[in-house]
Amino acid sequence: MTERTIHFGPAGSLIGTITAPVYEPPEGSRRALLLTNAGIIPRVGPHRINVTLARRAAALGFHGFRFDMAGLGDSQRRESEGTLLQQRVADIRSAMDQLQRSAGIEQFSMIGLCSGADLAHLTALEDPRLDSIVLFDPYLYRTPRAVLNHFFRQAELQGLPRALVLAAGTLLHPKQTFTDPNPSHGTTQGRTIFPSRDEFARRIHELVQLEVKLLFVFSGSSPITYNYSGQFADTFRRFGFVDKVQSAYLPNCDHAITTAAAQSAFLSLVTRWLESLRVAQGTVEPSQERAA
Amino acid sequence: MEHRNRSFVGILAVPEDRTPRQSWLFLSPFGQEAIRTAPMYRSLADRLVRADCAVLRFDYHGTGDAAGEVADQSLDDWVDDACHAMELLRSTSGVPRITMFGVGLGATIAALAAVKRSNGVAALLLWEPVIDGPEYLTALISSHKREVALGFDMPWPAVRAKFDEPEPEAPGNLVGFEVGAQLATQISHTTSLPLIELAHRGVRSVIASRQKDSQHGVASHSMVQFVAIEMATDWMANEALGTALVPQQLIALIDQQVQPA
Repeated sequence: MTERTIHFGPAGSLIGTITAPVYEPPEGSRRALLLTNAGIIPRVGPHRINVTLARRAAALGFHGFRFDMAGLGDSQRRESEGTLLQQRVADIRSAMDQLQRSAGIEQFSMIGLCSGADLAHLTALEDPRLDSIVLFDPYLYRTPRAVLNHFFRQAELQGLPRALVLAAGTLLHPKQTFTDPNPSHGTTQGRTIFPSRDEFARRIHELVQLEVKLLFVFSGSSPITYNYSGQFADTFRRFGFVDKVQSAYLPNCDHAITTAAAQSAFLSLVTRWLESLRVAQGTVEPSQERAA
Repeated sequence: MEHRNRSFVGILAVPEDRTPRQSWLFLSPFGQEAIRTAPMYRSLADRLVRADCAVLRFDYHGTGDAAGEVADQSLDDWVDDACHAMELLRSTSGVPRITMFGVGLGATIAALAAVKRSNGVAALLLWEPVIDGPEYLTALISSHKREVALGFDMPWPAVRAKFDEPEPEAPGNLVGFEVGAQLATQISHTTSLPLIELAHRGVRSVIASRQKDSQHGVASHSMVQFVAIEMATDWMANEALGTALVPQQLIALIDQQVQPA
């Protein structure tokens, strides 16, 4: 497997590592998987998961491109008149420009972890080259069933009396429990401003209309807010797109993808998704074509 | 960089249009600590370059951007990688004697590599080196349990029961990174650093540590300086996520090293 670290972007200020595909896909079906920082973690990703993902993509005939956005990892800070968010989206688009120029790639996928999920969907709204994204632990919204599950979980972990106190609090302050964070208050969860449920649904709907393939993946790290398989569908059913996107809940996977079981569950899911992209565009290894 | 079929990746930063007056080799710690210290390493490297020093920071084979898998590595392999990086830094910077800096296991690797190439080493600056290997493995195991428990917002025994999660051990996955059999064995056999041997060969060592009793395993010698760093940072923790701050005392130590003799 060949890996090459390059400078790219404005004045060569950004740094990324390209993992070349292990076989050359046919002209017109080249695709790259973009991977970038989760929070301030360098381009190797949490527990080096981006390296594994890039190598798996390369084994499937895709280019893997792990890069640091401006000011993170090895990339230089740069002057920008835009907001931090605009700069981040511009960095991702620079990564696509680079691979389009150097390798003739016009189709891109992205796996966005944590804050990377925010950036992936915002970039896909702006740039049609990014046509498939995985959003790992994107914005979370509670449902009545999630609240109930949380009650039972507290009863299991801390005993019934404590859970009853929690339930009493919920009944006394139902608004706090069921109202989504107010974007006007600038709730950040350490990342981009948390959009209202309606706003996030509007964005997903627009991405679906743009025919962007979406896979939402939820870890088991937010048991208060997101705690059952199907919560995504319950959250967004009324918006009419849930059957047009994929979602998965990985209860044994933590947000930082730490344990061997978490890494295995996440990598299996995402590798299957990458394989589905390859099949969809006919980029199948010659030997596998024969087997089929 | 490549030697003995082991390729690894580094970033060499040099002062613009000037011959560097010192060369520094930065040695990364292991696993989660390497991820968490990366912003600090970059910040320190930038500072040293501004002081007209050349700095090479790199990922050992099987780590970071380098080829290979971490589970297949050993401490000896990484010491060899460090020795090769020393040669490379010497030849590219033109500075014959290198100052080596490392945190945690990176500090240990610095000392072990320095003793193999002592004629090319000016000084060592070691922050919280791993001196007691078994204690370090125990710390990794404790951190694993703590981080995973925090990750699922439930106590470790509940995580084990709910997800059938195995008790962490070495070899095995510790705080998200696979510690292979060779690495686990070699770390567990680490009980001291060859600082006195280095001192006899004229290499100065500065050990920065948060606890004064960390002198355990480090014999006293006029060429071995011990400095207490008051700021405690648990680099194994996710809490260290945003820590790009470098303790002021460490900056002072680095500044002391770059002062003209």
